[in-house]
Amino acid sequence: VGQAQASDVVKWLCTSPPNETHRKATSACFLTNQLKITSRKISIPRLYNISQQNSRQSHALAMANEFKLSATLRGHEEDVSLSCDFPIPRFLEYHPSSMGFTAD
Amino acid sequence: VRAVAFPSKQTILSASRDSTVRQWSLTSPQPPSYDDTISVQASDWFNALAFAQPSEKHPNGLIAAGGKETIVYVKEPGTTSDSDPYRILPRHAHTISCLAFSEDGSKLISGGWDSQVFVWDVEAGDVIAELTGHTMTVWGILIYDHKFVFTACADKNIRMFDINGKLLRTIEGHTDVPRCFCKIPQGHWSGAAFASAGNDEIIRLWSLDGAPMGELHGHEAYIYSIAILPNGDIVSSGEDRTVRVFRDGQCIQTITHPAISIWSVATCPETGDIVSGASDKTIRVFSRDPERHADAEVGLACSTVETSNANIMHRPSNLLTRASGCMPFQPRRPAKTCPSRKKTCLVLVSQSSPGEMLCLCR
Repeated sequence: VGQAQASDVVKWLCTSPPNETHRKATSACFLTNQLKITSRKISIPRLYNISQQNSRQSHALAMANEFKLSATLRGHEEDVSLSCDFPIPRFLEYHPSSMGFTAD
Repeated sequence: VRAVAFPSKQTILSASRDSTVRQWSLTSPQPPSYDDTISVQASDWFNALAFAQPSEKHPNGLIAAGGKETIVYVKEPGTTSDSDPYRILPRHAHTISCLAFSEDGSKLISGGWDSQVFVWDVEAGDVIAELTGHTMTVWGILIYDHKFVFTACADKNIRMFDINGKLLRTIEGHTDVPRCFCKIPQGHWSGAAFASAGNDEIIRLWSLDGAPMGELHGHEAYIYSIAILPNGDIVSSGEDRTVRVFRDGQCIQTITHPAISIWSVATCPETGDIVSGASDKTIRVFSRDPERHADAEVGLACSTVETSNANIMHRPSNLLTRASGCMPFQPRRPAKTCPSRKKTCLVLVSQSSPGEMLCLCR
């Protein structure tokens, strides 16, 4: 418990049934006082009941299971072509021979 | 990286403007690392990618990819670029912009800049139907089930067809070009059947008969891609550097990338992880499972994660400027601002006059 992160505590509370959460929250606050979590900051019924969530609850839930970077995949190369990402209007088509844009 | 797919926890697929389609295989689960194999090496860039789930005929599934070459490559996973494609499907007259497989993998639908949409019989390699009526580029396709198909067209309309090509309905509502879809499962909090998004920066939720069911706000620029997580959260990516996660009508997380365009996002049905493909040549995987998180330094260096209970406005983080080995972060700033629309637009650069740029916003 001493090494728990705030998000771990919130996740633990979120997965507990309502009649258990207040007791657990009190224990968590006592054991992880270095995280400065107080029972006032963790509102147990609102944390558990998703259908009655309010802004604080939603925030806590999101914090408990947020996405974090898992892997970075590099290997694709730079695109150096003069390509456009959408169809070019015909009157703006690029004419390499004239090295410029010409009107159709 | 223009398109990504995440068919299983072992495999990620990507298609890029470097003219390759790559298969990334998980080599180590903790920390996750992947090795890539070039599945297709073309002569011009790729735009679109689709994966067919494994079937009796194709136990490893099938990969389809298309782009500026105007042909669709169909390959079996695990093969390299040296091997012949399973099928080559030529019919489009211009760049292919979107692809989708039917659930059983027997049909493939392609759409392109030529305003055409073809339904292919994958085994025969033939066009068996055309979805007609589009007057501009077709950016997105959703095969909803064995009967219904939706298309997203640059004429700002969503069209609903039956799989044989009969137009059933035109759905209006987007105020700008729709680009992408995702199917919404039954019992979802939104009550919707599918979602669409695009240049108007709003994710719109629709019933199967085209009635609007809701809107998800938060993006600040074009939305390029949307996907759904196994738990019903909706994930989106766009031109505002972000991947966003929506739940119960609210944006619950914003993941800001050190790249301008996040072209594509996909979700893994097995793990609920997210993969993004961005304009900085990089693919990123995000997970909610602490066992699959990268170490803290890598996490800080390559993305910043914002969590909120409300629709989030972009908030640059100085964390990214501390990163080593990553692009220095700059607050979102259009490369060029179109005076007429006061938003990011794409430009062409003249080879003869490199300083001259031509705005091509529509």
